[in-house]
Amino acid sequence: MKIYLKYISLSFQKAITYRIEYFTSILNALLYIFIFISIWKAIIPEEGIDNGITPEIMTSYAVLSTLIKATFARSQGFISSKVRTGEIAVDLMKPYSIPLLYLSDIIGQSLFQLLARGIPLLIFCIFFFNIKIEVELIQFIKFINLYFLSFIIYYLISLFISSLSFYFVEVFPFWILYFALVTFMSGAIIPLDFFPEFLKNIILFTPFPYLFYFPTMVLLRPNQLLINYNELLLNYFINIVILFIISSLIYRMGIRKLPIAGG
Amino acid sequence: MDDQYSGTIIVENLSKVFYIRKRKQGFLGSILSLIYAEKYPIYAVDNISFRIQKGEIVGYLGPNGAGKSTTIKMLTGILMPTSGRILVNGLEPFSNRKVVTKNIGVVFGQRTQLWWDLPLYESFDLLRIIYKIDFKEFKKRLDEYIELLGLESFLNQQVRKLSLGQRMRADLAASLIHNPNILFLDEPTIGLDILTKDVVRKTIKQLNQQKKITVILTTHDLEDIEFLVDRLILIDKGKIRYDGDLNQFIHQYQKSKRILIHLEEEVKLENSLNGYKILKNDMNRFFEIEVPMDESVANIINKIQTMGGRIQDITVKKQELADTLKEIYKGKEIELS
Repeated sequence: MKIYLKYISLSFQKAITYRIEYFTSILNALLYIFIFISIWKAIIPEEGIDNGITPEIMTSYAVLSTLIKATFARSQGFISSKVRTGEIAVDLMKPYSIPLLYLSDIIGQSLFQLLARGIPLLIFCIFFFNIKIEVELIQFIKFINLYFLSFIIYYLISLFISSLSFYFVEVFPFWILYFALVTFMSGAIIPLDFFPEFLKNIILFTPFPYLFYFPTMVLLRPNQLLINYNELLLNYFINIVILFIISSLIYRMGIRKLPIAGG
Repeated sequence: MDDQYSGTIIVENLSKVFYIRKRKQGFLGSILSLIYAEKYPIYAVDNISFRIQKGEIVGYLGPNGAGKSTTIKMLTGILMPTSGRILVNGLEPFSNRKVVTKNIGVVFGQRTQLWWDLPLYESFDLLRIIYKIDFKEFKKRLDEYIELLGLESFLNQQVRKLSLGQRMRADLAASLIHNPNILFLDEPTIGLDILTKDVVRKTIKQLNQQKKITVILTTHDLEDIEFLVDRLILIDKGKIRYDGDLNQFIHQYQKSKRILIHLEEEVKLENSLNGYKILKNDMNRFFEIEVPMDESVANIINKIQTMGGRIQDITVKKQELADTLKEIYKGKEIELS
């Protein structure tokens, strides 16, 4: 257990050393937010649309969903690059679980991103974009719950894709596909409310909207949630269990197939 | 871990098969390969068996591609065997990876086990946490290895800034810090200068004697073998060709011996030494010849004197492991002892 905690700390410290990346990523996030806000303000009329979404709400939505996304760290090379170079053998030689170490790595980086990106960005947006988020304590606690559950889903999907490196030489195309799906279906850019009914239902079958859309909405529009909170929790758990089973299987089978050449 | 199995390795009918895609030649062929490619099996390890007792130092040799690395990877739990049985410390390594790895140490000569971006002492600290070593014990052992292997001067350096020799010594310490009872060494002295090789070899020997650590050594460096190894297992094309005492091996397969001759004066011996192969000729005064094993030195001296050579000095070189191995690696059949 201690090794995973220590690894979180190491990963956090490592993230601090990448200073230039830090500044560019903040700029990047700000640019995104600014673009989204501008577009929504141009599209949505002042009085709002029939589902009650006003430009103000969309502004807050753009900020929040982007912030949540910004705190989920990408550690995509951790397993796949090690499989490619054969370095994974070194990890297999040690008595710890590689998927858990991967999780520790992501947590460490995400913690850094939360503190060094999320919070500054939030403060900046509140002042610069005039975001008003009035939250009750209960809503905030619900949000925190969903945030953690969403993080677990995020981790399990990443583990699944990383494990594909045992089967395919290049996993990069899968990451691209994943980013595309996330962009489209997770609510990172467009809230689910704007989708036609049939598409909404399809997307709700995937884990993606649970990543950013629902956590954001539970904070912004807790009374107009597409699914009520308890049912939402259930869906989260179902998604987690299914993803856990799939990614464990792919990982374990992958380890058996391990394509390391002999000598 | 059963006490009777402690420090032992049991391998029974072990095989590992890899499937290679047959690529069809030519442009059309490569397009066809997209849809369907025939696979054929390669028996990297082919039904091998052996048992290693606690405290043995075993040299596991073979030409490149023989199956050595594949075997080691199965013994250390990295690769899953295709068939057969392995027991390391009484447990199957692949399915009991987390338990087995707690008690074995591994040094890969060509790859480090340390953390690249961290200073060396941090790597050791991480290992302390990973292997759950008691702090006092850890400190004691670490100090011991720092002294034995001379790590003091670069303890604060990042691992990626270390020279090969420094890194190798550090890797050896890292493989021992958790007190394993079995040590796997895969090319531990590759690329090292002579002093460092010496330190590494002596440390291994000493630890084997003091702590009865079982050692499996894979190397192409024959001096490593000659210094460290009691028992030799030779593998080629996935099969074991020899498993037994090292010296017996050298003796058994010794076909010829080498004689160094130093003549007082120049004599052209070149054409007249029937049955002897002249390996080196330096100014017709210093010769190295290869003669059949059972040829007596007296005969040789006689032959040379008959040709007018006056011998100043004569040396019989003992058969080297290198020569025997060369014959075997070339593919000549040898019988199992």
